[in-house]
Amino acid sequence: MKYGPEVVRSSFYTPEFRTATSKIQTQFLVLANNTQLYRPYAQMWDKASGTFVTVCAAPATSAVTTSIIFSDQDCSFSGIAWALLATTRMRWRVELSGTGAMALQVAVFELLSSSNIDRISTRESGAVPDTLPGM
Amino acid sequence: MAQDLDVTVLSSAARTATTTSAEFQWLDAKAFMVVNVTATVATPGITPQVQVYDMASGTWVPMYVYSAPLTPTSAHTYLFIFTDTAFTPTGTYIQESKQVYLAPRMRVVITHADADSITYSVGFNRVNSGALGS
Repeated sequence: MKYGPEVVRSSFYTPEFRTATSKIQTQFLVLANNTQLYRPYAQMWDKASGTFVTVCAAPATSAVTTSIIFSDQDCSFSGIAWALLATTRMRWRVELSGTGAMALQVAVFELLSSSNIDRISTRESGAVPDTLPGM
Repeated sequence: MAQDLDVTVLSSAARTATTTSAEFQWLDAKAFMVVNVTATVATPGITPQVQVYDMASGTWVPMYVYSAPLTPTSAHTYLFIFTDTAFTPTGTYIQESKQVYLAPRMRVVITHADADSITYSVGFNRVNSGALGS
């Protein structure tokens, strides 16, 4: 899922995104900023109530590019690493608390993990499939 | 086989007494259980419990019981993680992350501490994981 780049001045929700991997990364790319601050909140879809509910929030507001990883185990990462289970249907709530405008892009992408190492091992052993997984 | 749908265990409704859900099927090793409270009257207390079906005895057996009644005074969402691999979740939004083994046949019991009305739903939602039971 990619949102933007957009010039934002007030809080917003990204479109919902669907992922299948246990580890996902989101990059909040600040392309330009004029006295604006943002704080991301991860939200998951709850079928029973038909609503998105917040599962975690960034520890503080930021004015610069930030990356957040969802992981089902502890990991070392230069950005923000959350030990938290990603669900199949999520979105971001991005709260702005500054007074100006910000050019922001939000990108979500899946990460490789042990759940698909077996497929990589198959390729490295020489048994290269005609079509790579996911293609 | 893996779980392919989220499950509405209990639809949203105002309740004043202990409620037992219908049996539902679950095929993943992990889940997000969401107890979404949207209204309260007076001071209700509810304790979520998950039960598994024991075919040998033909009875429902408690597999998980939250340690104390939840006592919301207004709308509040409670998030529970059930996982076969223990970890401490980041942040303050998760009520509890519990290492348990889920089962294909389960149901949820919400025990009410009193007759005060409380409106809530209960959902079991899929998570992304390398151990989904497939």
